[in-house]
Amino acid sequence: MARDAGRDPSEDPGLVARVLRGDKNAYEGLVRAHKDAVARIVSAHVPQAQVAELVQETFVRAYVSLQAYRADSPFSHWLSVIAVRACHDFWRGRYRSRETLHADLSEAGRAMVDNAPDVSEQPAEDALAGDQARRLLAAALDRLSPTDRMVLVLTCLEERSTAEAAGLLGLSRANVKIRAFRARKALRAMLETTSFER
Amino acid sequence: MKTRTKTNTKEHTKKYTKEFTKERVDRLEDALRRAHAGRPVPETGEAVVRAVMASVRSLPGYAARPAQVMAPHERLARVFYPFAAASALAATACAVWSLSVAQGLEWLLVRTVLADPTGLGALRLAGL
Repeated sequence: MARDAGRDPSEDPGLVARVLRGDKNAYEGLVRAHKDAVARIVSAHVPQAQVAELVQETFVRAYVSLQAYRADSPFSHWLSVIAVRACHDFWRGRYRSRETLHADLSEAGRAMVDNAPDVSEQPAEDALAGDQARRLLAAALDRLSPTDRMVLVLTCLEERSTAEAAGLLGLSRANVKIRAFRARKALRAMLETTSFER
Repeated sequence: MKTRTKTNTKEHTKKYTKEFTKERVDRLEDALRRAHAGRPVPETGEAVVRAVMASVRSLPGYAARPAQVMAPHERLARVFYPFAAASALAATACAVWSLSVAQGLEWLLVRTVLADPTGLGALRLAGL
């Protein structure tokens, strides 16, 4: 987890101790030090419009459960687990209330593939990168379950290890492996459909 | 022969289409991974810090913990009194036990003497 340059991570346990002694203002130091890193994690999982809200949610949750923090691991690691789980909860809530309308994947994919110039004329990375790819990705992810979605982003897109993803989501390694395999297969099936529909 | 050529062509087309699709899917997947890596990360400025701190201030604060380091006499008292109580209990148990043993032995002696006041029985028993 990246942090503010020039800041000593060993200051974190001291600030945590001050907050636990009743000094609420000391928490501001922790927020300032980790807000960008938390925003980076959160933006990987939720729509851009929700990032600020989820960052706030992460820090409030961290404050509420600050007594559970053990100084044997860096504060940033502990905070990243809370951030990922807050994102997971966000999607679970969204799926429950059905606020998200599933985007039309084939339409987004078709548009992306149609607008991409011929591979022989231009490298694929130039042709496919950009806003359309992000739209296609969002549409594809919308079709997965909240947990599968989180697992896919962590393992396939961010290329984190199974153990790391399991730790962040609070799942077993075997469960993450199964979910990653299933989600990846589903994603590829969606992309294949898109590819054929051209 | 003709049919065989046709089949071969069909298989070749199928294989080619499959490879082509795989290549396209690989490219799409790669593009998605790059798009994810290059996603815009929104700025988290003062507003976020203020919002977080406003929420935190509305929550109950942590109560100040009692001091971990105690004065020497407090530390001594904390160790000494339980130790003294445990020692007293052990000493009482031992005293009761030893009194019981002493009384038991005495009772045995009295019974022996009463049973054989001259001691001849004991001598006979010893073969003397």
